[in-house]
Amino acid sequence: MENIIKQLSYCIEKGKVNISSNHPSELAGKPGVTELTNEALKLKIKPEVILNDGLLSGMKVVGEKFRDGIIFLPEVLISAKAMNAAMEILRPYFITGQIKLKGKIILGTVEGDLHDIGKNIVKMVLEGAGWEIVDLGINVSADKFIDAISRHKVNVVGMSALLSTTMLNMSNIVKKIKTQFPDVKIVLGGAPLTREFAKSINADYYFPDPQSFLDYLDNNHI
Amino acid sequence: MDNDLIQKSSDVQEYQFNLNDLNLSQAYIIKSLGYSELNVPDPVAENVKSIFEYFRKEMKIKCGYKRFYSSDVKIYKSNFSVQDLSFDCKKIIGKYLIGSESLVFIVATLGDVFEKLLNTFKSNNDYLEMFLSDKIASDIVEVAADRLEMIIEEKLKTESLKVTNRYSPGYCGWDVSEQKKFFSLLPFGFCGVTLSESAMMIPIKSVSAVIGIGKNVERKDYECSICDDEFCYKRKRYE
Repeated sequence: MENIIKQLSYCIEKGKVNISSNHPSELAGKPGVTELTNEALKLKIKPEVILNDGLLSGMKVVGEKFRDGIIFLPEVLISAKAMNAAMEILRPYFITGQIKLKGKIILGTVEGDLHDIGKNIVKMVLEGAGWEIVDLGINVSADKFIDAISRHKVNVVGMSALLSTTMLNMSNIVKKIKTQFPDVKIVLGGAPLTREFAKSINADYYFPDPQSFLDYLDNNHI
Repeated sequence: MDNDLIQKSSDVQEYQFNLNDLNLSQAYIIKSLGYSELNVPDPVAENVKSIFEYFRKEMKIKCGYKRFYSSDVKIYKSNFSVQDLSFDCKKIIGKYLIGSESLVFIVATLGDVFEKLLNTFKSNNDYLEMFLSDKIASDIVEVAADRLEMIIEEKLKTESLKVTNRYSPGYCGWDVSEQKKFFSLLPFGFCGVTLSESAMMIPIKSVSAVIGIGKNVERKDYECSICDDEFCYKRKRYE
């Protein structure tokens, strides 16, 4: 059992999706996370153990390497893709409640802004690390954020903007959210933003990359 | 390159060219992602290669400029005006434009090829490909603007004039909302670029900038150290 869990963790770290994936070359022709996850379930290993000790343990290593500058964002995305392949296999166990995700957060690109590459990448990295994402898409108004917070009962909202014009819309959105949900933490991201800007509009945090957002979520027991 | 010149008038010129005309290699892109040719992961190298090749075949890059002469231009410490339209470019840019006798507005765009490819990746949830195509397209449009700068610089040498660096609305303190005034001074749909309500250029991968011209101006490095945008892409590109 220990061996297969270790292999899973390593395949996540290296981004080995399945047996036909050529990457990484050292694992060519060997099973990837798809085969190993299925195999682990056949061996009656608890889905919770597969998730925590295999998959998330691999993603933790990826996060640490990214934080230390050993790997870059493309490698995080390669690992996240492998992670998502495994999560698809585990999906029935999430639905029955046998295993639980870490928590739920809302993401959206603010009103007036149609850019979503950064937001999508954040979504993939957070999902890959075991968080459930309610993705509101692009051009999201304050009312839409508020409606989603009410319906999904989340503690954290992440919003992004790529333009210095649309980042100004964040001010109004943050104000409206904080009026109704003062305890909801609001996290900002996007190219023109800064920590100072986030502070100036009473948002709680600004993170320059998905990993630092993930670190915040993981370390603060949201 | 001059074969691809689409002449509008002596002061308004448009060019069309493709990726082969630019001094941009896959190795440059790999390096700008933080890798060397030796340590780049296979999926990154393979995707960079295929996306780059797709752009090489499909992309028609357009760029152009409009020159404004001294009679239309006034330049101050933190703002400038062109044909009585005032631009609040702030002091970082104003400092470098001071001394310019005239100005050039430039635009470069990759057209809609990038968006089409991106939508394909989005529909397949190919996040790595999304990220890489965005990065590659960003590099291409910047290098296209570099190329246009070189063309302008060469032309102005015949008049014994020099140029400043290029400065874009949305960077170095200059608010992106001023794009609207900027584009109002260019022919409508210049190079095929239009603006959204929020002043976003469409197609997305487009660059606009002002360049100062004069006998005594210089192309100085960006002073990123005095700007508070610590994650600005210009910092990575120019430092």
